Amino acid sequence: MIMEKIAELFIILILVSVVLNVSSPFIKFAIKLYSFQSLMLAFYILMGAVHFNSINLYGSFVITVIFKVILIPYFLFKTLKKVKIDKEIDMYIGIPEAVVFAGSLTLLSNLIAQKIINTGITFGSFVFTISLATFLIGAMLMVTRKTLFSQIIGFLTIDNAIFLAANSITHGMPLLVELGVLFDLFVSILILSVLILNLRRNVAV
Amino acid sequence: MNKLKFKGIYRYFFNCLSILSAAFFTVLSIYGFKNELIIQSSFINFSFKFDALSLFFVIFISSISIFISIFSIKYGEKYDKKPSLFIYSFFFIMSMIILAISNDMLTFLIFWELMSIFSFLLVIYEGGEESRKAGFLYFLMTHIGTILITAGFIMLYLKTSSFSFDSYKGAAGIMILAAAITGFSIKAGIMPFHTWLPYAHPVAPANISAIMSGIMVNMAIYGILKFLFVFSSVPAPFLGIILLVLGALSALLGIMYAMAQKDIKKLLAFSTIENMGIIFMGIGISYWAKAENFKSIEYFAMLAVLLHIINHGLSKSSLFMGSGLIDKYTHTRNMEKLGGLSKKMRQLSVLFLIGIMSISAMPPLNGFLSEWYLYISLIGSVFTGNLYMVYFSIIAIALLSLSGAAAGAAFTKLFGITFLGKPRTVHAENAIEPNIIERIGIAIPVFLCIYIGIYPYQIISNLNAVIFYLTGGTVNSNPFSAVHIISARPFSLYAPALIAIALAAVLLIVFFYLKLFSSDKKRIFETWACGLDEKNSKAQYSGGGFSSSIMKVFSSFYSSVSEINFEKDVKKYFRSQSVYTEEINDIFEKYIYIPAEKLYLKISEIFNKAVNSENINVSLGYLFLSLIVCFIIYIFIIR
Amino acid sequence: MNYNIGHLIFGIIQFFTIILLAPFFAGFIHKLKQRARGQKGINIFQFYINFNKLLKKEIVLSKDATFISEIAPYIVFVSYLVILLMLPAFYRYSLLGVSSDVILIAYSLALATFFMTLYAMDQGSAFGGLGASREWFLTVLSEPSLIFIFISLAIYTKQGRITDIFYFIQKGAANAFLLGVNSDAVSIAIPFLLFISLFIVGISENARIPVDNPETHLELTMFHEANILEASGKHLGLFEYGSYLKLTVFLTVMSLILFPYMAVNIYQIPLALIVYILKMIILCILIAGVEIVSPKMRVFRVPNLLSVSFMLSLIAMILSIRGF
Repeated sequence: MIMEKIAELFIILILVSVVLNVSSPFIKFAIKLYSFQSLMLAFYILMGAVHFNSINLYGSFVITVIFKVILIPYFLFKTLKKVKIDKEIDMYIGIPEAVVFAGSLTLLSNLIAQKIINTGITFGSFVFTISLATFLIGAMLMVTRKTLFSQIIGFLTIDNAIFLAANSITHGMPLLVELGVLFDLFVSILILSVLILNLRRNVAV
Repeated sequence: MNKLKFKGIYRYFFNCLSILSAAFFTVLSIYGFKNELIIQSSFINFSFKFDALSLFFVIFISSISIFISIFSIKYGEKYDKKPSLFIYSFFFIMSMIILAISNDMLTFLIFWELMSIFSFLLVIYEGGEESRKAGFLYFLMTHIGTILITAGFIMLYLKTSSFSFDSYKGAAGIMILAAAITGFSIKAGIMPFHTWLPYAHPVAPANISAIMSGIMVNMAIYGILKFLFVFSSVPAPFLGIILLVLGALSALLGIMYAMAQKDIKKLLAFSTIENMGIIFMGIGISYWAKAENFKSIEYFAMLAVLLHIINHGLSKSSLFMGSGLIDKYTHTRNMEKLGGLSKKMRQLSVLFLIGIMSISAMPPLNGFLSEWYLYISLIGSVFTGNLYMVYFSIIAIALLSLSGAAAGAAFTKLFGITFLGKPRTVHAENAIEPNIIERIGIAIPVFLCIYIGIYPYQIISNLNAVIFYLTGGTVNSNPFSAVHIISARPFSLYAPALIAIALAAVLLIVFFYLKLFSSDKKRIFETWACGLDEKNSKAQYSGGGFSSSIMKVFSSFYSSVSEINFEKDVKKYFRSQSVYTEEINDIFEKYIYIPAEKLYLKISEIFNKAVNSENINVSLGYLFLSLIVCFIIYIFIIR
Repeated sequence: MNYNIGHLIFGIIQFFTIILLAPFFAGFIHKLKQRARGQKGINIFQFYINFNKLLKKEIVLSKDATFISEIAPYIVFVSYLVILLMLPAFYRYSLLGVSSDVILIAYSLALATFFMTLYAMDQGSAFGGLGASREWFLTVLSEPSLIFIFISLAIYTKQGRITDIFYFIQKGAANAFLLGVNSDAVSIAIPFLLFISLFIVGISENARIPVDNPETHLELTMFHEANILEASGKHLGLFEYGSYLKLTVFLTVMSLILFPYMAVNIYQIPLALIVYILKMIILCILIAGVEIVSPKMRVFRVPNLLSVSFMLSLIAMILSIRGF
């Protein structure tokens, strides 16, 4: 019961971290936020694991921590250090407007979630709202930002949102599927890092 | 001298006539309450009925026009050369009063049209390019509105085959409502249709602006209330939501544009748009709640609407009168040329300050009361949990709070730049305290603002009759009864009398405490300003500078063009002069109206080329053709 | 709510306690900041001494000043006092508890801002206009979040008065966490979000460092300070005391969101008072910490911060409408 409330807090923190991401132009901060966000996701999964006592979810927790909290941010930081960009300079829409837009996306996703909600969701109906909102805001980040880094962060946010939605609707995916998805993600980050570095070297982004 | 006196007679006569006939109509409507009056003539019957809504509007119109007439007894001096002003304004007021009591479609439309025509004549009264342009725009827009309203009435007639309002009860379908409400919202100056308002209100003489802004726009609200709450058949909830959204949009954008203005009267005109938006929000919620059967929300929102009509009428008319006095005694309305008027016009500035506090919804005054009821009904509609209304109410709360704070900023700018500081030009230096009659004309509505703000219970219990007429329920007017918005549990309570007493008591305690325990020494000296020696009064903060930081954040609402012109050849930092020009455009005007105008001209030019010919037979042929088309439409579509 | 004489007496005691404590909290934050910078720092009770001193000094009025300069300091001070009359800090029945509507509180804050900015523009100094313009700039941006915070609280608890709101949270939390019953009514996430949101608004409204730095007289950092630049003597004293009161209002609301514990009867008052002061000290340390670690922001980056606060209160609002 109190665990439910705490799980709710973790989910909220996922959304808050995305909002902070929208509000800040600094890329280093964004990567840190992504790491924090993944940690919150991992805790949420852990709570589910304790609640259902499911080995799948425990495994999922460990993998999330290893990949999303540690490895991916580590590689992103490494790339960032080489590229030497510290902040997003111009965006298609200004920060306050983007945040207000993110707010309206949250309202919209709550509306959508209420429309298509059905029972069988682990921790309250609003997990789906939050994951939808996170998804939309991540997509918005990818659209409005110009730097490749921000777009990667947006992409990773979308991935987290899908992960959250999957974990809230089902009681965790099979471990193998999750592992595969995470490995795909990891490889794509590696490829993107190499791409950024090469672009930097050849075209001077 | 003799001639001048003769000219003054018009002013005295017609203003006193307005006062007397307004008082007469008030008495008539009170005594004739719930009676009907039919005047038969050879070809048309004028029928009148004094129901609760009409009574409310008659009293509202008459009292405010009495204040304005008292004011213009003296203020009108400078218009003595062209006394038509007083005649027109008398007929203008009368047409509005009779409009409010008319009980059939033809009477309503005739007096609506008379109101439009007299206000048009008053808009173009001062002459000149600006007023002609504003007058044309006003004439055009108001007649588009009249066409739509007439269309609504004709559809009602086709449905009920009667002219009388009595038989329209519960007859209006969604098409009729849509047509009529669009027509009325043009008159009310709601956001997509507001373009005429900021041009027409400032160019008229101040007493006329006060009537137009304080009363005339409310006649549109009268029509809307009549259509939505009396004529409407099956309530459609989405109509309420549309009204809410339009209202919230007007409230926000109206005050944002008001903030950008330099002209005092233009600022007030945009603020009228904001207040109409707030009234529309109330109507929207009330209508939505009626459709969804949430009774208490419906009543509270209706109370907010009626109270806000009164509050806005009182404070806006007093502010327009004040702006007229500023114009009269300083010969400018541009606030960048004013400043320091508070020293010269001490009493006027106190009255103006209270008017401003009332209109920017500062707590112990009446403006806050109606906004509070609006907030309560918005929160109530969040509580209903209706799938869509929850979201629209949340957005409306956000926009309303933003516009409330922006109203504070805009009116601080108005008061601070105009009345405080040092005089910026010689215009402001030569100001004198206005005449006593002019001050009385402003003082009465201002006093009523304070009275309603502090002790609203009497007014609310009187308004209950109107609320009952429109919605079939009443609100509790007991001073210490909490409001119940949705469930039986008390939700909240705002006791204005208590708050006012607390404010006064604490103020007195603090004042006397400091009187006793602190030094009372006082020295008058130069303004310190961190030791800067500012002899030049133009070094003060300007109105444009005041609002620029807010405008920068909300720059997407404006399409402003600003440029700084320097003399080319001078050194970079030591220029002898630089010219800064700024033009703030309305986004609706820029992106909808002007393109539409261009499109219209283009199409008509093409049409002109294609159709027009010098041969008279061809023209006659077109006439003949259109006649036949009309017949065909009549035969196959209408019948 | 039925009031009796006991409620009245303890309401008055609560009111005066908060007023007397207000300069202490401000002084405590100041002291913490100075110690963290390695300075010796002022006496914690310095602000009382300052106020007393200012009362004894003469008022220097500008020759361009009007009646606004005479009345504005009083009205600003009194509007904060009236808000404090409504706030329950450690005793549930505040004096004006009947009419302590949340929207009224938000608009009373605007009333104070209104008169303070009018005061600033009164003497015709360019700094005053600058300060007034910036003050409204902040108020326009933070007012929606403030009202959203209050309205989310009202929607979350289904109560409109601030006394009822926090009593409801207190009861709900006690039931849920101590007795374990009826836990659906309480939430951790909503107060958390509202706390952060109110913290941001509080920092911007109270002229704290990432937004404003009232310790300097540079025009770059002038928000609050530029408004009261011309004030002197007891007028300055009232403005300064008013700013402490405003800080206390925000801190009190924050403390109630963080951990609502209000005495319902006489016997709980000592404990409630101690808890209240402890909470306030923790919040003071928090604010001082934020002020120490963060640099002053560019004016046009403040909207970014305030938009986050708006967004957080919006999320809280969405969470609280979940139940309907």
